[in-house]
Amino acid sequence: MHLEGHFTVNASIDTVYAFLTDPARVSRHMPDVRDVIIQDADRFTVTARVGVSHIKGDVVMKLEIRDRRPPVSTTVVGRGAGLASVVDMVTSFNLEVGQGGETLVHWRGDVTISGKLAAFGPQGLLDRIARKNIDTFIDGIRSGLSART
Amino acid sequence: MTRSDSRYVGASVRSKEAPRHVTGRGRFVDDLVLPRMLHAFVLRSPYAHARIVSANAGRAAHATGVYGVITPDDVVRLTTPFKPGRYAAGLRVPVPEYATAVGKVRYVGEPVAMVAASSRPEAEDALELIDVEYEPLPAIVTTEAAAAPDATLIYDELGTNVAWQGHVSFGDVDAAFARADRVVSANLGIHRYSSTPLEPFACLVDPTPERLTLYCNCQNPEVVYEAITEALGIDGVRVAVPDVGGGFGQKIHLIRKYAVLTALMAVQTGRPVKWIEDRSEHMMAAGHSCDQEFDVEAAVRNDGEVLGLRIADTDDVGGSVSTLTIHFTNKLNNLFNTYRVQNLRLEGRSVLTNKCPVVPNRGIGKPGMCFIWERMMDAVAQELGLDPIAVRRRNLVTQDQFPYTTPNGNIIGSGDYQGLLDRALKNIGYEDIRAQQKTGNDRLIGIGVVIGLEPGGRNAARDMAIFPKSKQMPGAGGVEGATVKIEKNGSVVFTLGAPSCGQSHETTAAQIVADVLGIPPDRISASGGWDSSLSPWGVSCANSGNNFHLYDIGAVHGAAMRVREKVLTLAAHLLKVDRSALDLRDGIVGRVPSAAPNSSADGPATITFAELGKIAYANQALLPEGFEGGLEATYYHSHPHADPGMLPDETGRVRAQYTFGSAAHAALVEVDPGTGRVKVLRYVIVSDNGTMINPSVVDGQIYGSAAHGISVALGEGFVYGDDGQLLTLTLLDYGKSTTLETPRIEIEHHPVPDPYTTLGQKAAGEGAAIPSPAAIASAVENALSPFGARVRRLPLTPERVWNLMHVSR
Repeated sequence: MHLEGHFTVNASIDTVYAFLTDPARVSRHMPDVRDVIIQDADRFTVTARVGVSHIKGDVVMKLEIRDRRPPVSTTVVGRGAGLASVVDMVTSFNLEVGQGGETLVHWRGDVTISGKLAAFGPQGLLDRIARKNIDTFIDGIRSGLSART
Repeated sequence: MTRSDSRYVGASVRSKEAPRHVTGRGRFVDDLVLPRMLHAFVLRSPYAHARIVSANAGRAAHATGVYGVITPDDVVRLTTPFKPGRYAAGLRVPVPEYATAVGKVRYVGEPVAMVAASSRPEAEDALELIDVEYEPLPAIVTTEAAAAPDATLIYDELGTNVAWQGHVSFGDVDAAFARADRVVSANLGIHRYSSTPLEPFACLVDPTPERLTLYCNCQNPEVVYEAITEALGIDGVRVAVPDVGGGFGQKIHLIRKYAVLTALMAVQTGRPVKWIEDRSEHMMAAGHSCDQEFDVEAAVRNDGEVLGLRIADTDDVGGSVSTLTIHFTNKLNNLFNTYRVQNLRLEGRSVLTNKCPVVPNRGIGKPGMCFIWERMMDAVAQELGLDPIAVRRRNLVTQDQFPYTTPNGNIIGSGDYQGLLDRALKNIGYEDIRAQQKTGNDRLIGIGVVIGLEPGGRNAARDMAIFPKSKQMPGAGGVEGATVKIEKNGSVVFTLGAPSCGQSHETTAAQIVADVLGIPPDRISASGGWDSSLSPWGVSCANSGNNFHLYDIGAVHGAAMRVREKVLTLAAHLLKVDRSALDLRDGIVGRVPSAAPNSSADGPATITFAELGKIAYANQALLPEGFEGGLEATYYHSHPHADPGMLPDETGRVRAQYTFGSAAHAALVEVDPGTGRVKVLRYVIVSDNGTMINPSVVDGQIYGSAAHGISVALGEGFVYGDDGQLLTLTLLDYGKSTTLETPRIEIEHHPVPDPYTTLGQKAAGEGAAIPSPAAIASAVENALSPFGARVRRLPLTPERVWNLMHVSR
């Protein structure tokens, strides 16, 4: 599943970059998070509640921030397991300064779901859930940075 | 007993099993509860293809309620690999296969680890705490991709994903093609499906100090018996099979992995362990039928005579080598269908992919073989401008040819193929429908009439036909036992040598015993489920291969005859009459009315089974001299063609099965031109199952297998994504037909007794699942004739049918 989009944050590019590459801050805005464990500056583990159709439970996602190129880009790589499934995720962020000094964030995500949850892919269910979660996540980031659209 | 003595054989006696099941008193594995029992759950691969970098059970082992965790390392350390069985007859190099994946996972759902806990939810929760690190590999989901020279290898040991290649050839195929007027060719395909039994796999292992007992809903107990004995290296194994909620082949092979895992867990924890598979697990990992693709050429004369067939068969066998060639070798059972064609070459390729392994499944390769023949008969008719029925008639084996030996060695005892066709055509109103089609209307209505065999009685050596020089013939021949006993109270109990999976074996066997012993079926019962310690089993101990009608019926009849002899001997002694003057009726032994009075005319004229039982078991003084105590006998039955020394000859000729029922199927369908949806308007079967013991039971078998075959043709099946993920995990996604889509099946029986079986019986099990996909395909093609469409592949989903209409345009 490939997803991409962009959003604007009313904050400097350095501030946004620092936010996106800080596991402690960014994980706070992930949807349905039950627990966060920070291993170090690059690695963190998130336990999130997931529900797809009749399958509900926790997915434990191990995430790592890679390819830091401050303040313009970074990549978050993650693998989660739970609900007899595995979620592999690669998300990259590219930041640029807007004309008014705001920060434009372009993001691209590739998510591969294996196991039981994969069966819901063809019905479009996973796509919709992913979209919803991303919207929630972006809203969280914006509020975390006192964003404006 | 002769047929004229029959009071119960041939009657639709009420089911002995049904009241138990419809009132919830069946006893299935999950109904069994043992003290200190643990519940197990299996961790399965989420990936279609990946290396297992590590599997750490540390966190799971300390979870609440957990008593044991088994990882792949444990399995390698504590068990030995399975022996490659006959289903892997084509395997060229040894490939160790364990109960779990080892080193690699090769399909989604492959078992990786097991947890046992004091409750099922605790076990399921603990699975999430097993840390398995995978290195994903490219998933291969098509045979084309798998066979590509640069394809990622699924088994490194083999050096290729084309795990087997070979052929069988009978007659002079080249000569047949040389003298043909023309060659008709087609590319045909059948998809992956399953029989989806109501009850998925289930195992319960009780590790007592004396021996390990496995309660398991397996079809072939020998498979799990051997698997546990060999994998764990223990001799003290007992396998018990209680009620089973459907088998259809699903529960023959892969179930051994779970039996071994559950047994290992029981041994490791020292407690009874129960493992019950859920529906999604069953759909993803319990085995599928094979995707099969056929490139077929038929050498034909202009009058419709088929001189020979050349078939290139590519089987997508999924991610295991353990059943590499079963879909190929099972085509030997009905290789020539009902036709007298003498020349045929079948080339096979078994190609590995990252899909669920293939398993025996309601006919295995036989629906494919029938599909080939019947699609080609229609194709030949189209090519030559002939009537498809006329082409079939031109090639059918005729009545005067029976017993008929097929070019590959099968001996078909009897049949009336022309008669089956006649009746099917009459019953569906073939001529009227054809006439109506000619008058023309806007409705897309089509008719298809096909004919097929139902082979019965397994010869396991068949699988070695692809190795004609092999000296090892595991499972060759065929023999099966049964025990019949008159109890002390005069009731009768019998024990069969193979388990039942819900096919009314108790009812049917009781009818046999009832006629032989002259006692009503309601005073006869089965001793219980199958038990390796008690059941008289032989090489044919299997609820598969359509074995019951041949071996179990023959065995229970033979055992009952032996008991009858004992009854007559004892009664004659006690009544002081010649035994030839006695008859058995309603549990009473008495003088036949025509018998002349003898010297003891003043004594009792009759004696009941109960009186005989009391004497036989408790009053030795009254027994005749030399009389063996008890009123019990065991008999092992074979078949005149089941020669255990029989080997496939140099050309691969082998008696693949021993009896051959047959049936003509006629389908009338309507296609919705807007959606492509197919509706079956009528479905007629005329069936020759030989002598029927219980016509109602035979009807039930036909209804079920026809409904499945029709559903397969119309859309049920497994779908994989490009990443090897199974997308059809539930019965809803899988597209199983419900009663709304299933037509009423109209059955007429046209029995032609088999000369080689005990009562003339033939198989009556999976038969209707064999021709029904071909019948639907034929009818849909006929309905789509305005579009010139050719139906070559299944399933006929609305999408595929719609495309056939619009692509043809």
